[in-house]
Amino acid sequence: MKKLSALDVHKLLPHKNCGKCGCKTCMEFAVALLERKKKVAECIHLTDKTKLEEILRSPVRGVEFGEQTLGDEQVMHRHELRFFNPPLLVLEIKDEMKDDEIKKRVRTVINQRVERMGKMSGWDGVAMRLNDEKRVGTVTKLCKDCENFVLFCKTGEIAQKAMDSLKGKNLIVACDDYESVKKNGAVLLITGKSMQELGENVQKAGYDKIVLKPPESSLQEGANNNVMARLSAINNVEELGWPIVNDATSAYDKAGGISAKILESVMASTFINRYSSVIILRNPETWGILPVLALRDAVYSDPKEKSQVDAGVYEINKPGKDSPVLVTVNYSLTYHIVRNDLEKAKISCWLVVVDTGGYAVDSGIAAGNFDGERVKKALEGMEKKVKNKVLLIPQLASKISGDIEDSTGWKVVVGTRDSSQIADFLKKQKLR
Amino acid sequence: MDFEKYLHKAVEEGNEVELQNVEIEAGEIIIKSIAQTMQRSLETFKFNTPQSGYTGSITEVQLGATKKEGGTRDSSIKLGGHKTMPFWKFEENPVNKPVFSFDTFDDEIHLPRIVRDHYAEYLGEPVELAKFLVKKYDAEMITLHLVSTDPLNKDRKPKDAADLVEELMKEVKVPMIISGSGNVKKDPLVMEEVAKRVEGERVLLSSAVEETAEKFGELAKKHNHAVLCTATMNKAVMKKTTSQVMKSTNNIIMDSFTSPLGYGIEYSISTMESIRQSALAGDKELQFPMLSGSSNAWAAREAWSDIEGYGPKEYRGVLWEVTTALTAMLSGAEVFMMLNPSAIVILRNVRDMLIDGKADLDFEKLIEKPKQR
Repeated sequence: MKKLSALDVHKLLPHKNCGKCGCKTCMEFAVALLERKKKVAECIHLTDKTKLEEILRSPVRGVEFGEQTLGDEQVMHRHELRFFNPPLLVLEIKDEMKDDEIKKRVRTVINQRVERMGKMSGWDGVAMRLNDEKRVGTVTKLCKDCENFVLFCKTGEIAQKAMDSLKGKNLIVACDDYESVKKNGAVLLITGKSMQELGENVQKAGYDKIVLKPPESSLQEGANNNVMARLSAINNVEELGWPIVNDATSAYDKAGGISAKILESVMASTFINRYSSVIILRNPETWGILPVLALRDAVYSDPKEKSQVDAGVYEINKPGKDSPVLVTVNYSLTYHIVRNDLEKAKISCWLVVVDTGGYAVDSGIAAGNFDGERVKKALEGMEKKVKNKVLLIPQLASKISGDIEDSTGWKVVVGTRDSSQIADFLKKQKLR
Repeated sequence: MDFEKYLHKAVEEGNEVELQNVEIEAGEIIIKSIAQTMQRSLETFKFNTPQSGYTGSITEVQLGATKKEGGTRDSSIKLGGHKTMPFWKFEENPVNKPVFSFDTFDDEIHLPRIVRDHYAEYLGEPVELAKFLVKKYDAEMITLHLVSTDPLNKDRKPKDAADLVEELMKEVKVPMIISGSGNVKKDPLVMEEVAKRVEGERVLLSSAVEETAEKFGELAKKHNHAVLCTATMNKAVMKKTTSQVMKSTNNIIMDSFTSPLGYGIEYSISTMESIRQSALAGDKELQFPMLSGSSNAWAAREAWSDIEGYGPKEYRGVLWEVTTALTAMLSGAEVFMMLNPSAIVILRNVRDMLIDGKADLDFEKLIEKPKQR
């Protein structure tokens, strides 16, 4: 595939530079379209959108799913551009489960959130397995507070009933009766026993809202098929250019107890590393999904955007002349964690944030980006603000403590492994 | 213009368009597209295995040498040899399997409890610990970190370090990674002594940086070992480093640094994938197998700390190291320095699942039961 440039896109815009889309110029809008920060519909002067939409169409087509988009991906590796739309993580609900169990799972989906870098993340929805027509009404009603659904329906009747009762929700539906799904405008999930059959079924469906579930009888087969689908899509095989759904609950067919839960998490992480757009899981416990969430944030971050904060001295809880001086790095996650811990523990201090080029403490040292000279630079002017020239550095930086003393002339105290332990440490050291 | 509109409409409606006695100037492209659309809709789907088009390959590197090969190991390990991206099975199953090396240390260092509890009685006794790890967990490989040679630590003499390495290699017969303290001035002195003492064993000498790479290369060539080149998330520096070693030997492994899951692992993924792509596109200075220091996962508080609402750290910690290493493996790393024995055994089985589809998935016995709190 030839790489699309902003100029190619600009050619098809009205060149009015009206600013109505929120961009100052049409060129800026062209760049925003390429980076998927704007949508074609936001240009009010464009009469024929077809051509523009066509050249902007990604090898893996974008499928609108409420506010979110599934797919709309262009590359094999994130450094080649970026991956745009993180996969949805959905928790399995079966119609044979007791109502209380279903309620509990719905609560988990809605309430269980973890905070990372000031952003809350957690479950995105539910995957329902509906086999019993009599249960459809009750089960869908119990889940009415969720927004995103994957429905595996045994029959067309079940699918119809479920879609009726979940009107207005974002639905992906798997059932053999393609027509009923299409009629309702839901996203159609297409399966196949082989990649050949999968492609044939896509062709048969003849629809523009599709997700694929390639064969995944083993982890090896699943991972391999996901890569083949993405590479085929990039090689212009349109039938395989759709977002992919993976089911990590097959872990429970392979193992039991805690082994299955661990395997499920490992499988989900494999799928995150291998182009999945929706992943189905069974284990509702936080420890299982936590690494998957962290990995998702990582893989789908923008490689062009460095996650760093400005270096320099930050004041925490109004420090004074006697307050301790703490050192950390400008990798934004590290900075936010440290700052959060210090604020929570009500410690008044000066936080010296060293410019490591956005590296964490250990990788910064390994890269030669965290050393005495850089600490010295960050410390500029600090000597006038405190009485005692003492620096508290992270334990992971103990290796460079001598170097920091030599470069800065400050006395260095090696602190704790983790910023959550600083309060106790300061008390013991009488530095507080 | 009207004619063009008519043609557009005709195409959209899928009508057949016949043109007679028409002179075409700019309409050519449109007609071609009609022909293509018509043809496509008539074709039934035929799946063809996609092709990456890579032409280069990763150099095969051996670690450890058996008696036949001039060393004293019971087995040796081969890495590399691949011709496509990691685990792109439709083109090639990994030629050689990834291997996992257990970390040991020549001094007592801080370890998270979940790691320490596996072998608390052997801490500070690397030889006994290595024997235990091979016996209990079938360790395929052992890493000895000579942390006490650091001038800022105990400044242990190169000769004493070499004594310990010699003893370890006498007692334990798997291939080894011998790692210095990371002190740029001291490491070459330590490695000089070590390389000489265990000549012919094809030890992985860890680790060369840009300034020390030439020296490491010479030592590896003279005494038949391999060199680990490190350059933190920087492909250009990695090339400079390997090129220094390549003056003497191609027995090279590369470590571009593995950040813990949740703390910048995306940089590691992209550095490794980009290195692997360059290698497969023919860049000779990058055509070497890659190593991941996945033990770094334990720097993440999610791995070892009690955090409310996050669930038992006994599961979390193991999974954090497994997920960090798994991600590195899928990005191209094929030899791993790891800490927690449970994490290693789980990952060995995940590796087998990804390669053969078969594995022992009974992890229950490996994992510590969460402590009642």
